[in-house]
Formats: sequence, C-alpha cells, structure tokens
Amino acid sequence: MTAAATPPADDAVPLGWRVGVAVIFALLHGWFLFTAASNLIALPALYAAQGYDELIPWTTLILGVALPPVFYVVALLLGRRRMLSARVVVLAASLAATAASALTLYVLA
Amino acid sequence: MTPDAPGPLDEPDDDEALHWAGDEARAQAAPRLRDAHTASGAPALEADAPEADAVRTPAERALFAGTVAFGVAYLALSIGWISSVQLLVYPAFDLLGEIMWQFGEFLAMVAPALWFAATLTLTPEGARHRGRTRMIALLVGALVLVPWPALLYWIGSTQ
Repeated sequence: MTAAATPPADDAVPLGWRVGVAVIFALLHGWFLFTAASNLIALPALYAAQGYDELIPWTTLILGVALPPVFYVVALLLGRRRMLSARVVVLAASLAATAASALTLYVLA
Repeated sequence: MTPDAPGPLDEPDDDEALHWAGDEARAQAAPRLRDAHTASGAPALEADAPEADAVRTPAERALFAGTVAFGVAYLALSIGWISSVQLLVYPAFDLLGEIMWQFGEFLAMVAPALWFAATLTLTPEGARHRGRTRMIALLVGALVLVPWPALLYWIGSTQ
C-alpha cells in the first residue's frame, strides 16, 4: 500500500483505544487457547487410561493450541497503521476463523 | 391588514436558510446551490461517476469479477457453517463453556462474511499488488473456513 494512497492512521487512534481493542480480542482468543490447552493436557491421559495411546490425535490437539495465537498475532500485524474500525474488522475475522478452526478440529479429533 | 399582522419585512430571509454557521470564516458566505458546486470548489461527484466507470481497466474488471466469484463461494461457506452448527452439540455441562460454545458457533457462522470484509478492508483502492493480495487472501480464507463438520456429514450420508 502506498503511503500517499492511505496515510498512516496509527497516530489518529488514541493509544487507550488501541490497547483496549487488542486486550479484548486477546481475551477472546485466549478462551479458545485455554480450551485447546485443556484438551492437550487432559485428553492424552484419558486415552492412555483407556489403553488407546496410539489413537491420541496429537496433530489436532497441537494445532488447536497453535492456531489461536497465530491468528491473533497475524491480525495484530495486519491491523497496524490502520483506522480503529479496520483493526476491529481484522481482529473479528481472526477470532471468527479461530472459532471455526476450533470446531473443525473438534470434529476431526 | 391589522397592525399586529407580520408584514413582508418581518418574514425571515429565505437566503438565511442557505447559510451555515462558520461560512464567513471559511469564505463561503454566498448561498450555495446544487448547481453552483463548481464555483465553491466542491467535487462534482455525479458528473465524475460515469467517467470513473469508463476508465476501469481490464485488470480492475477482472478483480471485480474475482471478488464477486469469491463472494458467492463465501456465501456457500456461510451456509455450510450454518448447517455444521446444527450438527454439533456441546460435549460438557458447565455454563461458561456452554455460553462460549454458543458464541463460537455464532462466530463460525459469520466467519466467512468477516474474512471477506477484512480482506476488502485490507486491500483498498491504491493498495500495492491489490489484486494479487486480495485473491490470495480470499483463497486462504476459503481453505481455512471449509465447513468440515457439515462436509463430513454429507460425505458420510452419501456412502
């Protein structure tokens, strides 16, 4: 994007708003990270107790933990130097993609 | 006419309605009419719009067609997620988990629309490599947001 076409809007957004939006979406992404981490901790032990060690879905469990922070960081980076509304749209898309991928991994696990 | 009735001189000046507070400070004290926009320096949006269509390049037309095609695909993804949500049940009994599960299902249903909106927001007119960036972002979104729960159900029901 050229600087002439879209002037940096970073300075136009108050720091408090920027931090507030980032924190709210971090908490919402954090919920999906928390549930995925809970599954990663609890499920292998449950499978092992039943004698199904070889069936533990490691790929989906690890992807569940990895995807929420990846989506969040990418959305934060893409939202830099943009208006507050654009940041909210990008972070909301990231959160929605996190939720959709969590449901997908739940079904695939 | 009675002495109390308002005379022509007492009626408000019609030109007053065409003034705004602060016009004098901005050197726009004269009444502004619709057809006088060129004199006041305002852009002639109505007159420019057809010209903007006329100078649309083939690349821009291709980008528009690609965006519309992806829009249709994303609509199908939304329908797929709405179907997926009908098939899923929260696997536990805690209230907070149930609330967040419902919230997650709602987010999954609106995810294609939000991804589409975010892509258009991030690739405005004048953005560098606009067409390529937009198409790649929409392709990645379409792959990420495949409604696997409904897809697996449909595949299973056909076998």
